[in-house]
Amino acid sequence: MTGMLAFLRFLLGTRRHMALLGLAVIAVFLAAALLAPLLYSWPSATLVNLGHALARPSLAFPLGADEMGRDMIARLVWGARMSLIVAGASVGVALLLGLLIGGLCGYYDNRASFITMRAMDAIISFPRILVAIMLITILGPGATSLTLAIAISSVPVFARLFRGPILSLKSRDFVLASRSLGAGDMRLLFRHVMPNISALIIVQGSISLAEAVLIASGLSFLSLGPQPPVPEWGAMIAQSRAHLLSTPHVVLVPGIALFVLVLALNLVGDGLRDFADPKSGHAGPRVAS
Amino acid sequence: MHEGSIPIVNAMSDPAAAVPVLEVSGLRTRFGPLRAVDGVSFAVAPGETLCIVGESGSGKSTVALSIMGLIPPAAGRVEAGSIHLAGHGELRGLADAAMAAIRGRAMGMIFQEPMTSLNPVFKVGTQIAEVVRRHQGMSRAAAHDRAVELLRLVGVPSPQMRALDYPHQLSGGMRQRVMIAMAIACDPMLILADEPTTALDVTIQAQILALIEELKQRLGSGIVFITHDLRVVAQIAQTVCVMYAGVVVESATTRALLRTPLHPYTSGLMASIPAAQPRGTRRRLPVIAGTVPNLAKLPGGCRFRSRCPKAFDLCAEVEPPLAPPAKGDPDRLVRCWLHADGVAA
Repeated sequence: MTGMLAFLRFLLGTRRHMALLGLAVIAVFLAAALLAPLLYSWPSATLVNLGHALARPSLAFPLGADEMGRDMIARLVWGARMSLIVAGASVGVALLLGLLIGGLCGYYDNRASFITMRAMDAIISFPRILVAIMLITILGPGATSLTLAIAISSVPVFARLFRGPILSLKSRDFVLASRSLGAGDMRLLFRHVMPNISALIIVQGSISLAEAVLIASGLSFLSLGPQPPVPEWGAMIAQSRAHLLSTPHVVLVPGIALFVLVLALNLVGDGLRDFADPKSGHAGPRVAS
Repeated sequence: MHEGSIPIVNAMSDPAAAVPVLEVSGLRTRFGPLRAVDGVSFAVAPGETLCIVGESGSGKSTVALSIMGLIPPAAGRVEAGSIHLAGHGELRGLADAAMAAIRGRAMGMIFQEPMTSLNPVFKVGTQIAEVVRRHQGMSRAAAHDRAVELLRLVGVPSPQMRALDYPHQLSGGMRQRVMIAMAIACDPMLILADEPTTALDVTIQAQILALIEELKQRLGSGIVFITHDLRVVAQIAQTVCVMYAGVVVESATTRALLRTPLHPYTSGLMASIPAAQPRGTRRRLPVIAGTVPNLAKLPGGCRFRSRCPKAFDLCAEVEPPLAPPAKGDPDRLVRCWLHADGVAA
């Protein structure tokens, strides 16, 4: 909480208006996602009502209705919930696994960690989306397998990113000093060494969120995500794309929402990166070299 | 080369001295082909300060790390010898977990670099508290109180506030005091200090030495103090071991060693202490020519002979044993043919 306040003060103090704007946009999306069940009922977002098919924006349908007559704004809000849950959960799982693998492989610089890291390299050599598609093919489409696919396809990137600093941190004097005071290997790695890269973890996590939102929508567009009638932005674009020329709003609404959210996440990620950069000359958290 | 059979001299000639806190005998530590410590024996009594003196590469830090069991297994290992800690028995060959339980509780170590020996991302109070929580199972609040008390004990002003500081907010001397607080947090019976004052300026150095002396009186611990500075030795040690190229070349009480150094290496070390000289009488500071030999391929004979001004034929042939000198104090030991029985000097 104090970290969040320090970040806000940093953004205000250094006049990073774009990052502040991004933060505000994310807050709006987050609120919409959290309050979705209160704002719009699940049936209003999923039940077909062909009487209103492709309705233009009006008082009854602020953002119009899609080709099945479903309220676009209800679907947009429920879609935000889906996107943020999938992105958040996948980045969370990926960070945990990445820290575990990267941490252990950095701390124990032996044959097993060498083999593990080469396996990570092998996975990285495939495009991420291809790895994710392969995993979903095995797991079957749906929100859970979408989350897992995105998580697993980003683990190697995290593992490699976190291994470097752990490798250099473990030879620092304070690790030997802690050991001389009776700390064991696991305590050293997770309690003494890892907190030194917390800034790196936060920055990388925030930037990865944007990527996860984008990949989730991309996979849903290919109908590899949650299945109809569950609202998901990528799936909404895919279902309505036939009407792009006649009633553009059905495609533009989820498209713009996606664009704005990803942009906002990136802007905040950039802000966090500057916040954690020791060269920016303020008293924020430090990324250990 | 027969250190195992040589009686361990506790140069503190106090017959009432209790069982030694630490007894090291025949310690050998290798880093690959490098014999960093090649048969070192000494003992430390409770309340005694033993100094290990030598230049860089003499193996003195390796001795301390070997005692703590902190030689990185990928780099080297303790090959032979015994490390006996009072109340805990033989330390060599103990399992990692058993060793970790002893480190920080029965023996604490103070390092050379106070600037980098503290974790940069935790408050110093938290770091001290963690040690007592781990070894003594204290609650969070009790451990914090203990940390503040320890900071007061090591002479940190306004300890309540300093406990909430991060390491980068403290000076080098203050950080070394924090390191000392962590090392003594569980009242260890043995304190290993590896050049704890080398990175500090002279006034702070004197304060830290006084602090270590005061804590020794209070805790009654034995101290192994590693240094290359004979002036520090004169201030704090009761006993001195001079190390050269992985072996002890001379050991004696501080008083005897400083008054009459027997080994040419010890004499050389003492001659190269700079002293204030009146204007006009300045002379060039004597140095010991050459450097420590390559420990991976030591030539036979005495290890110091290539730099020794008094070397003679025998020195190249056989390595002298560490033995009491032919003439003089039978309580001291020296590894030099000049002082051996039946060898003409």
